[in-house]
Amino acid sequence: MAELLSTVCVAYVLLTVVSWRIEWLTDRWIVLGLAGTAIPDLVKIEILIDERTVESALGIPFAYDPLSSIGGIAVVSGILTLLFARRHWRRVFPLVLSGGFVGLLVDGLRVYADGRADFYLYPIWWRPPTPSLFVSADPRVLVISAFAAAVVFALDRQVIGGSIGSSSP
Amino acid sequence: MKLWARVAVAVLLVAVLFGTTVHYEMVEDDHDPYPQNEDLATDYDAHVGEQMLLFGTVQSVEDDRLLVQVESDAGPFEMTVPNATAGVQPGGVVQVYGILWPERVIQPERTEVVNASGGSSTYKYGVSAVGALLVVILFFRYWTIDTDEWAIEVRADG
Repeated sequence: MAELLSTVCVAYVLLTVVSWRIEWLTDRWIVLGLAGTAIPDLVKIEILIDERTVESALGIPFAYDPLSSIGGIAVVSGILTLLFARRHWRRVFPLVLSGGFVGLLVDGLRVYADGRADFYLYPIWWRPPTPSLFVSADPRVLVISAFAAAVVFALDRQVIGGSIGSSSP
Repeated sequence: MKLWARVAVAVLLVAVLFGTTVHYEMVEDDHDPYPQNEDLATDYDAHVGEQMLLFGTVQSVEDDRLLVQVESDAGPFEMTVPNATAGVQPGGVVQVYGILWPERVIQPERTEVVNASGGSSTYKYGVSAVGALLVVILFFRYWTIDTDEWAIEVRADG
């Protein structure tokens, strides 16, 4: 996957632009979308606890891969939503979910030598074609996404200013 | 919703999530177009001539010949990649798409460098850690844990 900082920048850009049209989508809510982008990265628990270790301990097949799929992200988003006060659920869930999907989308643009991304659509077994734009260790990804985030941040604060919900300053 | 009900639903969802991790591993072989790494580790010769997508850590580079180590559920094994055009150092990670030849050689159709050297993964994890820290700081600027209700709530000053 792309490193988390770039993914967070991409999610910030998308959600902030959307917030120019949706009045209630303030920074407090956008932050939840940014947090959601980390969900696909949960597959990296693998570094701490190997799949094989889990399999031999429990005696059943096991893979972290669903954490980085639409199905797994939907379930994790549900679990995270339950941590919030009831009155916020209606907004928390779609935001965390959107953040997770942005994470998948960015991941799906990465280089695969056979031209197809992982089974990100699980439980649908189909590997979407990837444009193979970058590898995660490519620093240009961070440069571009951080620059885009900075531009959108400046636009959001200075041009759009206090007139939330309106695109004219 | 009462706390116990929230906990019950959360436990149910965790069970569903765990179910997907088991289900995925059980049926993935049926959907994966390539042999599994563990099949190559245990019975390589049965798969000679097949298409494969490998992820491996480069052990040595000799001209355009790479020796890569591939991880599998049956333990790691080594593969030779001839005619690799990718610029990579030992410790780097490559993806190789190609045809399996005898003697654990994969004839590459396309080779991609994921990490050019061992340092690339340090970069990724370092930058990701900065991203994670940023998210945590921003989150607690706007949200707090309400210990009366045991739920996350908006900060009074958020």
